[in-house]
Amino acid sequence: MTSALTFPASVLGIRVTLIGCGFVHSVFARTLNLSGRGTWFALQSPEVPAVAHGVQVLWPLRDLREHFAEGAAWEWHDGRLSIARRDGGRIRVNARQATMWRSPLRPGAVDEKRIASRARALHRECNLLAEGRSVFWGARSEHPPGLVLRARQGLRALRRARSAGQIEHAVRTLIGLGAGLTPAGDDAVIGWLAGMTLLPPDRLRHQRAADARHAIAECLSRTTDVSRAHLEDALAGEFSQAVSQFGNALANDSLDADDVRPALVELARVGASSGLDAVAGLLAAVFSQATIPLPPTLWRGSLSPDRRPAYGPGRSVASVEGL
Amino acid sequence: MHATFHILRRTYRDSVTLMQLAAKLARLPGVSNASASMATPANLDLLREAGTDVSGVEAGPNDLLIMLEGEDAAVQAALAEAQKLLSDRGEGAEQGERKRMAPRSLAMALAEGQAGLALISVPGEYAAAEALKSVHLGLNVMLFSDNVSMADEVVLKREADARGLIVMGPDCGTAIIDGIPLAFANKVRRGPIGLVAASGTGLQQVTVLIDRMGSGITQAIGTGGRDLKKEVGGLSMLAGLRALAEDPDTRVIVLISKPPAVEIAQRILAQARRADKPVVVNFLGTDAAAIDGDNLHGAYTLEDAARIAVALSEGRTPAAPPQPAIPGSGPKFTAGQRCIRGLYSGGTFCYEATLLLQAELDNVYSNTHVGRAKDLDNPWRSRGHTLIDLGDDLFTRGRPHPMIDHRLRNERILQEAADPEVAVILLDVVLGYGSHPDPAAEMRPALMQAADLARKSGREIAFVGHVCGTEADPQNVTRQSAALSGMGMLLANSNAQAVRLAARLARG
Repeated sequence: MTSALTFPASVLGIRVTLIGCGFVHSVFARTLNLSGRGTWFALQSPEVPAVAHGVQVLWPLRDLREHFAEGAAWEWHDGRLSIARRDGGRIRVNARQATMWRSPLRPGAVDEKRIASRARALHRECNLLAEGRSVFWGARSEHPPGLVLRARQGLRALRRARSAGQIEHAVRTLIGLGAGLTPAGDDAVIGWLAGMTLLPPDRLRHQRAADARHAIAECLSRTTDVSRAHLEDALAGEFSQAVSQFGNALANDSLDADDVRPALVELARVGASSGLDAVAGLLAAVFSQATIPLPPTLWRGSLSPDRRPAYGPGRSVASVEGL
Repeated sequence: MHATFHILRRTYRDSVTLMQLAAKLARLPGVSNASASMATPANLDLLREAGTDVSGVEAGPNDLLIMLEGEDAAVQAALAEAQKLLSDRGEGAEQGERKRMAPRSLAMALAEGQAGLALISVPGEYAAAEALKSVHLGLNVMLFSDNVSMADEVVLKREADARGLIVMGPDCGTAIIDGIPLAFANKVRRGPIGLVAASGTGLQQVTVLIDRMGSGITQAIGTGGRDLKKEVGGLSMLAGLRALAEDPDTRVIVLISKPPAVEIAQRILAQARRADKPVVVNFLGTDAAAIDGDNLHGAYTLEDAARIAVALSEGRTPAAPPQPAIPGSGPKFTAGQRCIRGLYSGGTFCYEATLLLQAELDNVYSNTHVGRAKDLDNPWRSRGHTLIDLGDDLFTRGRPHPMIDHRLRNERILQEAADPEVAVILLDVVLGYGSHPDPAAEMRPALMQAADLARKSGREIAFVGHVCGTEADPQNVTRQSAALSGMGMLLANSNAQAVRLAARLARG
C-alpha cells in the first residue's frame, strides 16, 4: 500500500454533511466511524449494507483496522476526504461521483395479518441465524443471563405497551442496554420503529409511534454517540439499507416467506448482532398489531422454562409471554 | 467481594467481542466475575441489580467499562490480559465480525487470494462490464451470463486476447478448470486429454465418456456458443487451443463445436495442425473424414471424439464404435407405432441426435434447425419423428432449465405417450454439478404414468436414453442408471448409441 492511495466512494448517505474535519471515532474491520463538530458518519466497505450516515467506499482493504487508528485526523474538502493512516501516510476518498442514497422504507398498505403471518414463518430462521450472538434470539444466547432477561422483558414491554407511560418505561429499559458500540436494545428500538413505519397507519398506532419517538428522544443521552446517531436517523424515518430491504420485502404482498429470507439473511449479517436485534424489534412491532399466535420457536430463548405459559393455537400475541 | 473497575475512555468494540472478552476473563484463575460493556445507564443498572456497587464509577455511555471481581492479584492479571486482548487488532479481536463476509466486488475477491479466473453470472446487461473489469484485473473469465451482445463479446475477447487471457462465454455453462467443475459440469478424473468446446453438453458428454473409459482430462475449456461465428473469430477456441498445446500435461486435444463459419474452421484447423500433439476435432455435422490428416483426427460423434482421444492418449489405434444391442425381450409395438419422440434437456444432445436420426430415418422434425430436419410449425406439438431441445429459450422463459426442473419434460412425456403413433421416447439424463440432485426420482412418476397410459390403450412404449454422468458425480451414475433401468428405460452408453438404438427399435 503506498501512502497516497485514492479510492472512489460509490454511495453517499443522504444525511452525511460533507464538510470540515475531525477524528476517527472507532475502527472496525469493515466500518470506519468518523466524528467531528458534533456530527458523525461512517465509511463502509462495499459489502456492508449502507446506513443513512454512511459513505460506501470501493476500497479493496480487507481489514480497516490494519490501516486506521482511533483518534487519527480526517478532513473533507470539495468532495474529497483525506484520512491519516497508521503508518503516517494518508488514504483519500473521492466522493464527487458518488450516488446519493436515501433509505427507501415504504409504509405499506398491506394487510397487517398477512405481514405477521409471513414474519411468523421467519422465526425459525432467526433462531438459526443468531448462533448465540443476539440477546433476543435462540435458546443459546451467549450473553449474560441478566442482560438477556432484561432485553427480552424490555422488548416484550414495548410490544405490549399501550399508554405513553408504558412505552416510555419500555424504551427507557432498552435504550443503552447491551454491551457493544450499538447496544442491542437500541437496535431493537430502531427495528420497532421500522416495523411501525411499515404497518398501515391507524390512530392507535400513530399515537404509540409518537409516544415512542418522544420517549426515544428523551433517552438519547443514555447511549453511545454512534448509536444515538442511528436512533436520530430512525426518528427522522431513515433506516439502514438492510433494515429497509427486509421491511420492504416483508411488506411486499407478492412475496412469501421464502422470498423474504434473503433480505433477512442480509440484515442478520449486519454487525455482531445489530441486524438480528433490529429484526427482533421489527417483528415485535408487527406482532404487536396482529392477533395470530406467536410461533413456538420463540420459546427457545426463554430463560425460565418453568414459567413459560403453554403455547396453543388459540392464544393471541397479547396473552403470550416471550418476545 | 469488592469489584474492580477499569474504564477505557471512548473505546468501542462490538457486543460479541465484549461478551467473549468477559467470558475469557471470568475463566481466569482467581476471577469470580467479569463483565465488559459500554457504561450506559442501562448497563450500569444491570450491574447494580446483580449486586455490584457502581456508585463510584465515573464513566459515560461512550466509555468501555470492565468490571472484575476476585482475588486482588488475579484481578490485576486479568486487567492486564483485558488490555492485551483489546489492543490486539488482529486475529481474536472484534470477533463480532468473525464471520467473514463473502467478497462483494472483484477487487475484494482478488484480495482474498490467488484467483486466476472470475466466474461471472449476473444479468446480461451488467455482465460484459464485470467481465471487462475482470480482464483488466488480469483474470481469465468464465461468463455464465447470456444476453451479452455480440459486439461486447468481441470487445471482451479481444481485450483478453491482448493480455494472454481467455474469456469463456458468454453463455458458457460448462468448464472444468484444474479439476474443478464449474457451473454445469461433471466430476471426472484428471488425465492427459484437454478439451475446448463451444458446446456445454457436448463438453459434458465427452468428458464423461473419457472418464468412463478410464482416462481423464487436464482442462475442459468452454468458449460460448457464438465463439466460432465469423464475427467473433473463434478467439476463445484459439486461445484454449494455444494453452493446451503449450500444456505439457495435455497429450491429446479435443475440439468440439457445431459447424463453425468456414474461414474460422480453417483458422482453427491451421492452428491445430501447428500443435505438437494429436488433435481430435468434432465439428458436429461436418465431414469428419475431410478433417483427418497430419495430427488431426475427425470425429463424427461426441462418443467418437472421446473414444479416439482416449486411444491416442494411450498410443493405440482407435477401434470402431460399438453397435447398441437390442434387448432380447424388446418392446412390442402395434402397427401404428412408428415414431420417435426425443425430449432433450441438453441442446447439443438434441443437435447430435437430429443429425444422426436423419441419417437413419426420414421425416425428422426438430427445433434445432440442423441438416435436413424439418422445422416444427408448433414446437409444443410433435409430428413424425420429433426431437425437441427443451432448453431452447421458447421453453425456458420464466422457468428453470430442464436439467434442473423436469416438470416441463415430464408433461411432454405424458403428451407424447398419449399419441398412438409413438413407439420410442428418447431422453437424455444429465448429471453433475448444477443438474437436478435426483433426476431418476423426478422422472419416475411421469415414466410410470406414461407406460400405464400406453398399456391401457393396448400399446407399449420404449423409453430409450443415456445418462451423462460419472461415479463421482453427486447423483452417482450407477445409482441413477439402476433406478432408470428399474423403471424399464433402455439405457445406452452415449447419446449417439441411444439414438441408434431408438432408430433400430422404431424400424422394428
